[in-house]
Amino acid sequence: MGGDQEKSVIEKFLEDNILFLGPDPEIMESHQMAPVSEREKNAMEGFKNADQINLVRHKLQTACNESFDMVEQMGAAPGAKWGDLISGVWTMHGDLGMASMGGVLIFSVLTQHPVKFILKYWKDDPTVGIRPGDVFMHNDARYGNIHNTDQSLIIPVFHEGELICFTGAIVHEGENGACEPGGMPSAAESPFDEGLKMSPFKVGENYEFRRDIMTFLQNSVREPKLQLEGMKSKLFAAMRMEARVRDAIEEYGVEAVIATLRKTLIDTEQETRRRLTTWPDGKVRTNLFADGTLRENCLIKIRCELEKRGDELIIDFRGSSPEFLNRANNTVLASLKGMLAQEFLSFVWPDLPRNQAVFAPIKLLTDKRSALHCSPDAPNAQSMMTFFPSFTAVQIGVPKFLYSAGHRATDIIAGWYNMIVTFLYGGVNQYGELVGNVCADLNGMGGAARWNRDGEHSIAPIFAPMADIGEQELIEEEVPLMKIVPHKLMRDANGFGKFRGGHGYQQIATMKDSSMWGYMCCSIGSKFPTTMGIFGGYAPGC
Amino acid sequence: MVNPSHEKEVERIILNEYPTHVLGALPIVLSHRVAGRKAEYSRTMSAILDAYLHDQMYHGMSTLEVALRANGYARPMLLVHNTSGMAQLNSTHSLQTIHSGPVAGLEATGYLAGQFKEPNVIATDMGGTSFDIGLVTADGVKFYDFNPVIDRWLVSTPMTYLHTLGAGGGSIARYDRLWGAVEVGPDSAGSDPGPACYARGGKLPTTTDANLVLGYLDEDNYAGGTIKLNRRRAERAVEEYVAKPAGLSLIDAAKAIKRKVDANMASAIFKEVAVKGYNPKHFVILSYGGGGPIHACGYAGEIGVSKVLIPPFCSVFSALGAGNMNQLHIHEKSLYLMLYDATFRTVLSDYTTFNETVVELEARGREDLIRQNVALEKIKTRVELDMRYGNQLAQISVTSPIDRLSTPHDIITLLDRFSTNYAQRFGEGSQAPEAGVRINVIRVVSYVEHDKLTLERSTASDATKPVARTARPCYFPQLAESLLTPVYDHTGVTDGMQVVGPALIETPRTTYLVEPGWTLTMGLLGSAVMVKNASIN
Repeated sequence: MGGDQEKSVIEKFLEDNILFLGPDPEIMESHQMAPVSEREKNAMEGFKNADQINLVRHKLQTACNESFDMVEQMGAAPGAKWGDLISGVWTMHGDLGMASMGGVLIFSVLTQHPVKFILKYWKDDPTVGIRPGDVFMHNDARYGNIHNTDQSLIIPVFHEGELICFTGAIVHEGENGACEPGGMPSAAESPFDEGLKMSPFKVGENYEFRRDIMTFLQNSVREPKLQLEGMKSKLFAAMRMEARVRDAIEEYGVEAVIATLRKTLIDTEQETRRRLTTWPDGKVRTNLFADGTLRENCLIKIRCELEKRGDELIIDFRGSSPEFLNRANNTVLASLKGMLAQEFLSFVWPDLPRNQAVFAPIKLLTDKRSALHCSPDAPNAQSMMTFFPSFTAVQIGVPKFLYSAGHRATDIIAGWYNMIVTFLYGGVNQYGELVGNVCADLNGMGGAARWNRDGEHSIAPIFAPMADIGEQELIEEEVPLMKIVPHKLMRDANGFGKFRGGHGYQQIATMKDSSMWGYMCCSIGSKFPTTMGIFGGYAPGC
Repeated sequence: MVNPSHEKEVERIILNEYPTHVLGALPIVLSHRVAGRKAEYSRTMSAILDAYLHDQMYHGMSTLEVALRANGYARPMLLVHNTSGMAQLNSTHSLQTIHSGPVAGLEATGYLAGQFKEPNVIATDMGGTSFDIGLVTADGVKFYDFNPVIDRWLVSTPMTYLHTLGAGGGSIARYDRLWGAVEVGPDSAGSDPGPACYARGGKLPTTTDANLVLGYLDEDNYAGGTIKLNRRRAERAVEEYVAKPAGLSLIDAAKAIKRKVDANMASAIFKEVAVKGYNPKHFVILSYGGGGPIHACGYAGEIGVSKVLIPPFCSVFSALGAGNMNQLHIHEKSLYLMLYDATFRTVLSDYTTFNETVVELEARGREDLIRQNVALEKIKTRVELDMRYGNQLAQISVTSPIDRLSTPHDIITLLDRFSTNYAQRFGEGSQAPEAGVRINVIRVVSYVEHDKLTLERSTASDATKPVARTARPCYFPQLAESLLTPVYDHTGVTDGMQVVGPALIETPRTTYLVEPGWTLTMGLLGSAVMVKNASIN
């Protein structure tokens, strides 16, 4: 046997004997779109009238918005009710082509990974496969999405036996059976303390959930009711969107849908690059320090260098702190990218479409096994503690380019308050139900000043400018948590000086009508604020 | 809200300090009387807005009432409410009057649908800056907006649902560099400066400018000749801002504008209808407002609807709705009533809370109507329930077939009714009774029926061909070349006459565009029906 032949035999043996399909670095470390396939190329050649494509796009966008409304209405999670979700259509190669206008835009650039995993590993696997009516789910952040508390549901759309695209939704469901209720356990010391670990997997066929799998999932969390309602709402929203895709195919033809999805991504990337070219070339740097792990004091360095070169932006986080193998404040690389995309989609170019291509011209450099690019061995349930400050580092850097940019879609803005302040809760509620989640009033954080106007004391979290804080009386109706002082606006709460911004409000809560109830603060993450003024100093003026 | 004792105590103190016989006595607005639903913020906003509006509303309306009496009007003055009902001034909260005009239009649509035996109607009102969409369905489901936004204030007063989007004659068209395509709206030139062709300073191309370029509008006879249109300005605006950057001819650019604005409206209609669980293709479209009849074939065609109604009394259509409204009051109360408790697997067996709440709300409605001199025996009530599965946000409003609970069978009836409504909206199988079923709000609608104006549906058939006043070339998005299109004066097209598209019928208020493939049959009192009978590609 020759050397090459021996190598081939060994490779085949290794390929046939994989212990299990963990997160695939090839998928997880790329945020680029799949190459244009021959099928897509042919479709774009056959259907290329820009105004026609615009009509198809409008139809699909309406479908995304319609399904978003459905999930928001049907969902039971506090996050779902107040907009912490997104619904969308993915191309046949798994890239998010279009997404609902509302919701949490972080999802826009990090939902493709589980779909690509399904395509790469399950499509041709005889024990799984992808067939019409199949239902896939996922929540493990190491395979994509933001954190484990988010659950995504995807269904494939076929036309005459050909896979055309995927439809689905992702929702911050909250409770996931972790060592603390609510889905974001700061006590997690390993990934195995973080509750449900759904790698992308098939949970239903013929548009129906398998009852054994549903039972397993309900059995794994504190809120079986929430699990059921969350899954149903996402499935029926995905099905509604599938029906709309079929309508578009019927009206315009299958080529039109394939071409529109791909062309939307191509045009979006081109436009983003064109806008970047109007920025001056150069480098800016920001260094931030978070000062706690939520368990103890600890300085965590966020080192950020932004380099704009031609039509590309390079964000270099190398030199930031290493990962914490026994603390939950690590960030999966994909989550970091999602959070940074939020800066561009909400604060720099809110007029751009919500899809994955917005982030394509941006290159990210990180150290592997750092707190911003953690390994699968590190817990990540509180990744916000590192990706929020990372977001701020970029948000403070970008205006320095924008001052001289040829095109500005928004006003120059300082760093938005970058943490969430609310309660996590868990226990038996006043109706005897076991529940656990996070209060949606985290959505009322302070907003930064712009160059031409003051900030807001309380307006929105950095990750969801259109989210609502919910109504206190409705929260009290569902859980035994009574806000004695519901929302007392905070002013100038961030460091020293006269105009200091800070978090949105103070609140005082107590429990009522339940003796088995616990809650804890979801607090500011750092004792010393990590949100600074654009040119240094303390927090931005609000 | 559940316990208004603090609010009542504040009221007692104010009344002590400023008794009603004292000059300068204060009107007192208590939030639990303005909004009956839970939700602290929106209830507070409701009370504050109501208090702000109260003074001017009360004095303005009182003055009007006095003036009406002085001029010989002897009947009670009734104010139209946004709940699709009416009431006298002494039983009206100022918040209930906001958007009451468009709601009256929707009420008229419902009435028209009944009279003309059209089970499902989408009401569309296209004006200069906005496009209102409302829904009337055969199953009689009432659509409410429980948390309407008034200006920018979120309130919690149940309002008949209407969706408004920024699409009208003034919507500005542009070339969208991102997609390399023509886009329209949401920016609007409004009426000041208005479309470029108005020659009032507007330079940007609008839907109206495109309509003029395509030949649909008569520059000398627009709005009955009251507004002279400047064709050159329209052409220049479309040329400069759309055609040149898009690399299109002037006509193709105008066609793209027309197609896009029709598609925008069609998408908005589609979503509004579909998200409520109906198939838009099973509806007919009622089109009114100044810009409606010129675009109706366009947006109906985009949705797949093949029948468009243009109502009678087009210019006072909403007033027709107001004239046919019932005197009506809505009272509602939030509660947490588990019909099925999934945790303990129990079905509601204590009916006291439900029954007592209905009794209380009925009594309040009765008081309102008796205060307005309505005879007790004429008062009717309808019980509506907002229900949900588990802890959802969705609150589906269900008209209850039962106004008192007395047996387990009644509970099952309610569960079935909810399940049917829910499945229609979100899909069969989407129901989740396993998560529990509860009632969040009980609403009692108390009303007294008033005499209605009877509309006659024309059955006339007049084979006489109307005589065109003139003809001009018009362009249509689906056709490459122009078609010589006859232009009729509305007075020359009478009851029963048919006009085959392409055609234009001009009235002092609007222009009916009968697109190729459509046929218009004129009805009574200016009404018309347009039916699509051929596809033109």
